[in-house]
Amino acid sequence: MKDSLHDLIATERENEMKNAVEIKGLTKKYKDFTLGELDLSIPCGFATALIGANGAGKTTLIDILSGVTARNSGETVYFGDMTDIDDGELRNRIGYCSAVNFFPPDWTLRTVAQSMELGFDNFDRKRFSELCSRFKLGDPEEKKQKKLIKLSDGNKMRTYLAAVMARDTELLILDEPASALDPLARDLLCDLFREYLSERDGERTVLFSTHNIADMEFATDYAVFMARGKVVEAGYVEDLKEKYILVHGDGETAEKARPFMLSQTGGRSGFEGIALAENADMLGAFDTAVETPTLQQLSVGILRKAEEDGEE
Amino acid sequence: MEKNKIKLTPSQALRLYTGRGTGRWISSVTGVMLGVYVASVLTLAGLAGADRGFSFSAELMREKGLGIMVFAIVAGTAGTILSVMSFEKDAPGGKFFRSTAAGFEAFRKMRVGMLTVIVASTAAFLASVWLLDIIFPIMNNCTSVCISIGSFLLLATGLSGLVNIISNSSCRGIVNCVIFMAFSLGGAALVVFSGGRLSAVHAIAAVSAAALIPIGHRVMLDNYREKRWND
Repeated sequence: MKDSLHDLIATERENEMKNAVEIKGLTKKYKDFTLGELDLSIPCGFATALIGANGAGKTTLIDILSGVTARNSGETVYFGDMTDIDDGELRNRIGYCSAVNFFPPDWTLRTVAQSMELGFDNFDRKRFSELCSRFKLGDPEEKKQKKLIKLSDGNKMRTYLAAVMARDTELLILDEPASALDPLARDLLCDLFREYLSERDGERTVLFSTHNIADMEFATDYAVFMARGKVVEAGYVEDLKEKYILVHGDGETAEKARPFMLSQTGGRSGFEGIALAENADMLGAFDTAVETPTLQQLSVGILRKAEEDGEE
Repeated sequence: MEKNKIKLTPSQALRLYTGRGTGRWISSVTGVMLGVYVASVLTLAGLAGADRGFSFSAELMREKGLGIMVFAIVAGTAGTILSVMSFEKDAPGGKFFRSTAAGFEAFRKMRVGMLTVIVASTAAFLASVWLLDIIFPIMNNCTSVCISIGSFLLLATGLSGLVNIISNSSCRGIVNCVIFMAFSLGGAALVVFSGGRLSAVHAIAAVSAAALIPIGHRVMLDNYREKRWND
């Protein structure tokens, strides 16, 4: 799987990298929060995870990209040449769902299907039924149906995902799709992302925000780390794992290692943190252990560094 | 420029946002209003002297104007309820509605659908009560009362469009409620005090409403698009 992902990344880069979304100088100001100024590219053909602490600006960015919220300034270019998010053709190419209350609570699977058909011209009822079945939601054509209000949070999110993925889109923008899901459903979601991307090789893109980094690592090709409304790091996961190293050692070496670390935690018993790979030899001299970090460990390290920088 | 390929009727746009089209909305709002009206009349009739029979109670309600009062209060509720419905982004379904292909055009059509529901359900309610009053008369000059309340409620509907520029939702709801109730009760009182005669005031109210409804609708849409659609 890993090799094929490497091959896929290499092929994409050789074929002159395309971006599904290019964000230039984007800002959004609220009374107590400012997003941006953001400059960011979301590569086409991959699954990109937006990672950040609560209040980092992930939902605001997702809402702007999906046309739910207006930006104050900046430009967003979709699929190379589309800039007007009010354009129905562009909206039809984007599949979006929010983390909560995406549909009114008194709707059923049938109402959801009817409304999706009205709202977009690429909703496929058959595909919706298939996805409902895979998510174990029941049959949307059945006469007696439960209202969404009676479903668990997980099943509500499954409904949102089945609805949005039943459309023939080119860009999925999903806000916290994994948060309410159980481990099995998260696994299914990762599979669905892979299927979605491979159905039209290189032409489709997934952008999702998540706090469940460990569970979604399998589905993540590219990661964007956000803190306090800004992008603090972005890159292909495989590249980031080469750029950064996970370092751990005993308590005595913690202070010696600190100048070469980006961020670290721990006490007398030992420490752990991330550092730039270029410092690996230096850190190795302090009798520390160096490993390739997981995306979860990378996220903790990068976001902690951003937090510390913000406090200074 | 034709930006959005999807063509929605006002009823479809309303269904996109609420799950129900105008037909279902009109029938359910009219049904609820009629239910509340009949229940209120029966309760009042019971309190007014059930032991002496319904005809005695009906006569008493006619004499005291209780039937007209209940009618006016219930008639104002459709506008009140529907005009305070939330269309904010964070309301359930708000983000879905804003993400659909038709964009703001869907909102514009949905508000036309909502306006249709307010006017049609109020008209259906007035007509139903007028028919009921032929069978069980509890109001004096029922036809005039219906026309008077109807013309004043149309005017209230037009004003409600202008009221919707108030950004605070609680404040907007209270002002809408006051307008619909005041106009409905005012329309009824005007007929009661004029001995059942319709006057030029009613014609002016109806003509003003015909002008004010599209103006209020346009003002509301422009304001909503600028300040609240995708804030």
